[in-house]
Amino acid sequence: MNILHQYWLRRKYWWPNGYRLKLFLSFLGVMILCGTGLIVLFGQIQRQTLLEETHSQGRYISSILARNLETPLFFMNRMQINANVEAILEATDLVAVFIYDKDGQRIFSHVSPQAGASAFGPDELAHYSKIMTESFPLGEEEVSIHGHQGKFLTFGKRIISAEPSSDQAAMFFDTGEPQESAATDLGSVQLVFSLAKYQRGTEQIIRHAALIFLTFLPISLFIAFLLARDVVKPLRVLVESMRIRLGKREEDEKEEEEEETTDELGQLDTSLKQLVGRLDQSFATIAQMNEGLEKEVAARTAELTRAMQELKETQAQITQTEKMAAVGQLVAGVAHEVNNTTNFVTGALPPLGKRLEELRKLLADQGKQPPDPERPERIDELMRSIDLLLGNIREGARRTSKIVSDLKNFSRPDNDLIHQIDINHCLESTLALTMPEYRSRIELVKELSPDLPMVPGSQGQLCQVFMNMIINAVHAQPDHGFLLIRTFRAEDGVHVVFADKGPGIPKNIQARIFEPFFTTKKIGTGLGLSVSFGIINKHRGTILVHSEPGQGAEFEIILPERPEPVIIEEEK
Amino acid sequence: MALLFLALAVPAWALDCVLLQSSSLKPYEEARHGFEKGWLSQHPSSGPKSISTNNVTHILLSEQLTTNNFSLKKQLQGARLVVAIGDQALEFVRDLREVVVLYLLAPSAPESLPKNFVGIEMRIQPSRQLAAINRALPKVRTIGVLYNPSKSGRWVQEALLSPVNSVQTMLFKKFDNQTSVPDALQELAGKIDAYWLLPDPQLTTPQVLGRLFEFSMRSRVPIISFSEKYLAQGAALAVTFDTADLGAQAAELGAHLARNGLNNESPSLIPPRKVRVTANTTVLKRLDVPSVLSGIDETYIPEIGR
Repeated sequence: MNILHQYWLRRKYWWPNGYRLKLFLSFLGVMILCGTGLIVLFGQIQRQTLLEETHSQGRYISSILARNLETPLFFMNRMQINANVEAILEATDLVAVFIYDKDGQRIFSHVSPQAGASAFGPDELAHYSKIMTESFPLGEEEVSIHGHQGKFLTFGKRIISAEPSSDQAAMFFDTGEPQESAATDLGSVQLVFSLAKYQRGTEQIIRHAALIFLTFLPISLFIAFLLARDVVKPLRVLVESMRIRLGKREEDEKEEEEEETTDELGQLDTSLKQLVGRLDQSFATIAQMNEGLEKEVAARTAELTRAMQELKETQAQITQTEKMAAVGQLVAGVAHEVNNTTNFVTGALPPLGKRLEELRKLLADQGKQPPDPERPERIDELMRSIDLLLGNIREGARRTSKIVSDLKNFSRPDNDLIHQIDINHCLESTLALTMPEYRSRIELVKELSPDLPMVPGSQGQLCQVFMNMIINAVHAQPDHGFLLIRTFRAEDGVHVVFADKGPGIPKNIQARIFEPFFTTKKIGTGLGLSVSFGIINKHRGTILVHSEPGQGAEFEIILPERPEPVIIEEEK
Repeated sequence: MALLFLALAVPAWALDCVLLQSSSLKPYEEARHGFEKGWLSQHPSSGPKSISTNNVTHILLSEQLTTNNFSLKKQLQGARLVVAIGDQALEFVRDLREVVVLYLLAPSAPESLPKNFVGIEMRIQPSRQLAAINRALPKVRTIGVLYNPSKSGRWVQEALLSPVNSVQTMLFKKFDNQTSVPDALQELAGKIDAYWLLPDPQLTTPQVLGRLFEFSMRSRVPIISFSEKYLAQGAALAVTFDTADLGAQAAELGAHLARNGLNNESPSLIPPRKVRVTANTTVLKRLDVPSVLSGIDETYIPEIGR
């Protein structure tokens, strides 16, 4: 009992319910409808087929019998008539044969014992005679069919004999054409067929169809049950998973019990509605979060822009600082050079003052004292001396101005303006500034190509790079050294080569020399090559290093004639 | 209109003989071929008596338009000899008077025709037929015949006078109408060795033929018919004329008439000169009637599927 009770409690797992029950019942209904319909349809088709067959058979037998009866009826040979009729009665469902003369009088009747004793009494015989006289008018040769009380089917056929032909030729030859001889009406034959076989056949078909249907119905129901279960199973799983997804609580159990009254589709609908509600909420939350996120991204972007700007400024400051550091290294030499050029001025000023005093005095005494024949010569001599001294002063000023100009070119803050740069001029200017560094101990060889094209770029930045290269070469050779500066034009751009005969760069640090703050010098920022690399990179150029320890170093800068796109920002 | 007639008409003076054929029935065709062959043999194509081939004009009446009758008649009137094959052809030329008309295979030909008409009849003399039967079926001694005096009286008279009657015995039975045929046959049953079917329309209706063949089967009596047509239905022997030879006979007669013309002594009706015997050997074997092959000209071979 306990097991049965448990089994009953678990009925929802085996007894069709919910959507499964609906499916099962629908399938059952469709099966019964289809089965009944098919039985009716097959029954009708079979009835129709059997009826047509009976009709066809009746017509055929009527025609044959009428044909066979032509001669015996013509000669009124009853024995032969009887023999013909008997032969047909044995083989078919024919139950009665009536033969009428041309006036409609029954002259022969033969009723099969299987027709039944009362089937062809006087009334019935009168009925059949009436059929032949009323429904089978004279001249009608075709078979006519009449049903009688649903039991019998009647066929009539006129019996006609040919009259002697008037066509004499047809008597001798086959003329190939039907003889158009006159016909004599001998009478008619009436055949009555039993419909019992037809009815039996119809009933048998219906019985068989019903039997087949009833045999297959339980199998179909079982299949329907399995199908309904299999169809609903994924639906149940879906409903269950949605319940779990929706987080049904223990206190919802009561509601779930109520939900059990609806089928799985109803539950799915409810769950979907809840899910859609939650989705709407989620989308609203996401939209809000999106809005906040956009604001935050905008703020972060602004911060990043500021940081980038600061970075750029810092980079510019570093570049400038590095430049100033280089200038600082040069300042003693530059100061000495400036001093030399100033000496032209300062050295010329005392003798110039003296000569101007003497000239002033000579000119003042010219009116007061008697003419001295040597005076004009002295004045001319003084004037030539003054011109010479003024020339020295001018030269000193020019040289100072040039140094200042070179310094100015070099040390001015990089404004990133793009110009067409004469690389050779840029190199000469840088060499002038650095001359004090190398003049006394470095053998400088310049191989500057005269037909070098102008290169777009920043003059200050490129001069800074060149100075870095020259200073590094000079510093690498503390005693005496050699520096070759060569420019030439190639397919890939303008090449500037700085080659020294210093100790070279060790292999292990060649990969690091362009790193910021990397230096092998005791003094130095470690930013020179790093900044140079950045500048050449901005010009879409390349710096190549070839160095073997003990065999000097060679830096080759390649600047494209038409860098694209020019990465150096134009000042807006 | 006159121009149209002139255009349609064939120049009469160009024609010697016009062969007017009723239709393209097999016996008519055989007769035509026989005539054309015989005509050529009468008029060789080379030598001093040679003639041109177009002096026999063949016209198939069944293919002529009825509107063309007038010009056709004119054409026939211009010929030296008109040969009519079949009843229709004879009917068409019956009003011709100036031209010699030779007709054959015309069973409906009236007994009296104008003098310019000469025919080959389809009736073979009873004596010749009996002789042919005797050659083919020598064991047949008594031959039964149903006859209608109004139709076959003359023939019966001739048969009774036949000299071959010494060998064969004829048993004649009169009948008045179709319905009396079974009784008449019943009277002949057991008395005859063969039954001779005469060309009588009363005896060739389907029901009478059916009764006759049933009688033949049940009484084991072979039926000797006047036409090969009935061999297919169950007749054992057909004693008839040879259609091709009928044509050749007509050609011979026509050539004679064309050359010499008609005179008062010319017969108006000539019997066929050749008798042809065709046997249905299957029926003869079934009826157990012995036959002699030398007396049989042809054997009937049933058409498959017929």
